[in-house]
This record gives sequence, structure tokens and C-alpha cells, in this order.
Amino acid sequence: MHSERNVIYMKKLCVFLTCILILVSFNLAAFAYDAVTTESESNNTYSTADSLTSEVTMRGALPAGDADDWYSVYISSGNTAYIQLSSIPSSCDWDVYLYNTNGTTLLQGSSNFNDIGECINYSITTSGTYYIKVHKSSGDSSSQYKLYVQVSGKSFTHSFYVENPTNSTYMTQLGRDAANNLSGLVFLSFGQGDKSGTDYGVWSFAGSHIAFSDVKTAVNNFIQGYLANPRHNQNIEIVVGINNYKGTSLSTTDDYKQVGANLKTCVAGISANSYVDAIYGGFDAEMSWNSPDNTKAVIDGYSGGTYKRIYNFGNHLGDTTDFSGQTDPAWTFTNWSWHASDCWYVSYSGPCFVTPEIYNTNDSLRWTWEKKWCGLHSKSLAFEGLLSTNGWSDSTGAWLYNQNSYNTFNSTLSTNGQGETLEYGTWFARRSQQ
Amino acid sequence: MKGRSCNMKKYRNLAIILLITCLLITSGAMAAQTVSGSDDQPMTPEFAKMLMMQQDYINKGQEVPQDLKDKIALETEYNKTLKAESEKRKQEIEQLEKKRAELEQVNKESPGFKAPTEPSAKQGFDPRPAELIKITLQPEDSKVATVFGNEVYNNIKYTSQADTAYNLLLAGADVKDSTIGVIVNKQYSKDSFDVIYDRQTYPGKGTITFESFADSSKIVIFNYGNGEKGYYDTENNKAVFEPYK
Repeated sequence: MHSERNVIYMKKLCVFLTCILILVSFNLAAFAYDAVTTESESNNTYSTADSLTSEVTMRGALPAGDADDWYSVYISSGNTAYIQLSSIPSSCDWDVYLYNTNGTTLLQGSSNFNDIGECINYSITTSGTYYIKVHKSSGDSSSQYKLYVQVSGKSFTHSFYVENPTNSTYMTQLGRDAANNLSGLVFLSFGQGDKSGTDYGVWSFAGSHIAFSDVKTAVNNFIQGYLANPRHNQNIEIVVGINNYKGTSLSTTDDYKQVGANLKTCVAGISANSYVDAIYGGFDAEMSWNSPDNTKAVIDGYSGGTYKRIYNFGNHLGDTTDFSGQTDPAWTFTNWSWHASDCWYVSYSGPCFVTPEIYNTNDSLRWTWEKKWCGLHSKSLAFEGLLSTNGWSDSTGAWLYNQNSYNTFNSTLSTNGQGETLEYGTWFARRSQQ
Repeated sequence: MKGRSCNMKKYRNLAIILLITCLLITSGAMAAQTVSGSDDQPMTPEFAKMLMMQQDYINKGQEVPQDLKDKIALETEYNKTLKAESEKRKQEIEQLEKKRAELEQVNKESPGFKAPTEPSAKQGFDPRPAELIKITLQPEDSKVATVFGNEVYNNIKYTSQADTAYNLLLAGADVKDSTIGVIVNKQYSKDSFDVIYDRQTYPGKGTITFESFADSSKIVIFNYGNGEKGYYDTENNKAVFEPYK
């Protein structure tokens, strides 16, 4: 009797485990690395606060029955704590407060009305573990907020892949809530150059063609949003960007030149306003995405008319070993080759500047050798800071975090006699975490 | 005596003129050695850096690259524009801060705070217009890369893309193993501005290809493996490997 019962039990267990195995195989496969953490309840008091890591986004929520979420973070004296609360659901009014090391003395709060994003900039004079409270003033929701804290190092502005440029509320909120209150360049990347009918515009990340007039409207909405947050008081310069993916709608260099010219018209037609100091063009010029001739044609088209800067925020796929002594080294991709001189052309000739991608140590080396090559071949090159990802990546392992990107690039440049001040730091979040 | 004294005066004056001329020439040469644009303080780090680079070449006795000279010429003019506009920026900031103070929005707990009467704008994406709802067979590589990102582009042998009201779906198979069907679902939320990227794999199902829509494009019908039928339910964000009824 007992052995029969055991056999039945084992059979049921095997069926159950098989079901679990099948379910597991249907689960989401991780195909990229994400650098976001989620709160661990219950963190409803300062004594049960979740620990925060500087520059790692924390996602949490305040559903019914949850009035506060507490976090702790160590801050050394002499630093400024920057705290940002964003993605507050539209039916909610959630605020953020910074408390002293005793967990009870309020140092500063940010309590805008409604769902306007919150931010705090506070100078720390005593090292210790400080406490941050996300407080529900009103409104329950299980939709997640984002809490971002930076407590040391070089400040990095938050740049964006614009997912839905024609939605004015989305663009306004991007500027009002997602953009952080830190000064510097803010890149808005809109997609790839594209032609539809007779219009030279952009193929957006939303999967449709938009005109540059739509891009202009989108940027104006972003600016309106940035200024609408009562706590935004840092000066930013907006870079309106496209990438250089080779699409079938653009077949000649003249086509690409026209895209560049239209980008220029768009950028020149957007006005600076109060804390938004200037508007520039941007180009995510990547060697493996298009030929140098097409890429340079965009620059040529942009260069016409009144002077306006354009920032290359792309990569360098040259050698990781020092190529500076070669005459004009070339690197071949599937359909074309890029020379060091081509990279210089789209990075520092004419109106071009470069805020290079520094996602890993190879990026750091390649750009360093490019600068060294320029110096040895009667060309100038300087870097306007760097672009990082703050740790997420296309592969299953992390790219460099912002501070590591900065330190790595700084060190590589200095070690190889190419040291310079890297003025700007900016990062793109993974698109699903913007 | 008088004649000698006149000559002395002439020579003295000549010497003074020559000395002054020498001094003028020398100071002019020195000015040429210093950074041009020094009368205009750089308004941006980019311009300041360029001027430092130029000075560095001069200090080392090296030729300043022509491209740098050209760039400095462009930036010198731009610097003037920025300078002219800086006063305008200051006034705009003053106006903005005055408006903010008047509304007393900074702290809703402060006395005199007036809650705005207009409700906050609803968060959430609008549905895609009807003309953009479509299925594309063998979508263009560059557009797949732009819309879905590199990691998708590099890991999927895709066959088709379906654009619905709130989803961009990409179907195909794993690039390394064609027996593993793959659907990437880029979802635009109706209630927030979150965009969710979701990659689902289906071992043993083979290559998936979108064919048509049903139920007002909430259902995307596909074939898989050896021509069997299935469908993707966009309301529940899941694939069902049986014919849609």
C-alpha cells in the first residue's frame, strides 16, 4: 500500500517538475545586460532602508498600503548629493526627501505638485550613511518610479533615444521629469536619416518616417518640459542627433548631403531659452553602419550656411594597438573601409566636435590612438567629454559605468601623452529604462 | 656750437623715434605670438580648449594646423554671438524664476501655495495610426537595427515585422539555432511612457513568420516550423501555437 502510494506520488512529482521545466524554457531569455535594480520591501522605515548604489537606477512603487520607501547611501564629505525621482505615475504626487545620518533630521526635500519629477542637490560636509525617503503625498500605483542618486565623481547628464517624437506629452515629460538637473550636453537621438517620397527626414525609433519639422517640434516640447520643472536650474545644451545607419531609401551621397542640410535647418530653427543655452546638431557616426563617403556627406550638407556645431557621438572601430605611426590606416567592414582621416573628418573638421562612445577599454584605446595619429599628421583633435551607458550593454556582460568610462578614458589619454580635460559626461539609458 | 647742439637734438630725436619704433614692432610681434581672440573671453569650454591647443603649438614652436586655425576663426565669430545672447538668457532666467516664485510651486507645503487647476497630462502612448499598422516581410536591416537595437539585430535571423496599435513585433529564429523560434515584442504602454522590450524564445518551434492580422490587429497570425499556424495575442503579449479561431 505504502509503496503504491509512493509510486503515485513520484509520478505526480515528475509531472510537476516537467511542467516547471517547460515553463522555464518559455521564460524570457536575457540577451542584454541591464543596469537597473528594484526595491526590496519592506523598506518602509529608515531602519529597514534599501541600500542604494551611486548612479545605479532603483525602481520602486507605492501601491495602496505603502506610504514610504526608504533608501540609504554612503556619502563622503565634500561631495554634492544629487537625487532624482522620475517616472511618477500621472495620478500620483510622490516626493523625495533627504535625511541626515540619524535618519530623522530632514536636510532637504523636493515636493513639486502632481507627478512632476523631483530633484535635490545638497552639499555634504560630514561623511556617513544618509537616508532618502520616497513619500506618497497622494495617489496609489504599482507603476514604478525611478530613483537615481549620484554622490561623487564626474556628473553625467542623461541623454535619450527618443522613442515617440510626435507625442507632445511624451516629449514634454522627457524634458520635465526624465532629464536630470545637471549641467552639460544632453543628446536627443531621433533615429536614422531616411527619405520618404520627396522628404528627407528621419526613420524614428518608433518605426516610422518623420520630417525634420517633427523633430523640431519634439525638441521644442522637450525644452518646454525642461523649463516647466520648477527645480531645473542647471544650464544645458541640447544636441539633436541622428545616426548614420545605411538605409535603402538613401542611395547617393547627395541624398545623405540633403539629410545633413535638413538637420542643419532643423537645428538652426530651434531657439535657446533661459537654462537651455544652445542647440546643436549631433551625429552617431559609426564605422560599421555606413561608408565614410555617405557619412561625410551628411557633415558636408550640415556645414552649409550659418555656422553651427555638430557633435559626433559614435564609436571608433580601429585598431586597439597604437596605429598613430601609420600614414592613414584603414579598417574594413562588410561593405566599406574607414581611414583614420575619415574618422577625423566627422569628428573635428569644420563644425565637427566629438563626444566619443567610451563603453569599454577598447573604445578608450581606439580614440586615444586616433588623437595621437592626428597629432602626428598635422591635424587637431580634442574630445568634448565622453558618452557612456552607465553599465548596460548589448551583450550579457556590463559595459563600463559612467565613472569607470571617465577614469579609463582619462587614464588612457594621459598615459599615452594625450591628456586633456574631459569637460562633459553624458549617458544613454537602455531604451527600456529611459 | 649752436650747429652741434642742433645736430645733437636731431640725433636724440631720431634715437627716440627709432627706439619707439623698435618697441612698437616688438610688441606687435609679441601680440602675434599670443592666442588670437584673447580680447574675447571664451564663452564655452570647447572654444577655450581650442585656444589652449593653439597656444600649445606656439609655445612649442610648432606650426599650428590649418584646420585648427580655421576652426578658431569659426568659433571666434560664434563666441561673439553667444556673448550677445548671454544677456538675453539672463533676462529669460529672471523672468522664469519670477514666474516660478509667483506661482509658489516650488514647495506645495509653503504658505500661499496655489494648486494648479489644470490636471496633469495623461501618461501613455497614443495608438499607432491605421496607416502605420502593417506587416512587413523581410524588413530592411538598418530599420530593424534602429527600431529594435543592436542586440536584436545581431542575434535573430528575422523574417517579418508586425506593427500594431501598441506593439512593434519582430519574428524569426535564433541566429545560431533555427529550431528556436523568436519573437521580439516592443510594447508601448497605454498608461505610462515606459517602452518594454521583451524577447521570447520558443524551442522546437522553428522559424516564425507573421502573415496577417485579426480582431482589429490585436491578433497577429503567423506560421512556424513546417507551415503550421499560430498567433500572437498583443493584449496578453503571448504567442499561441495553434490556429486562431
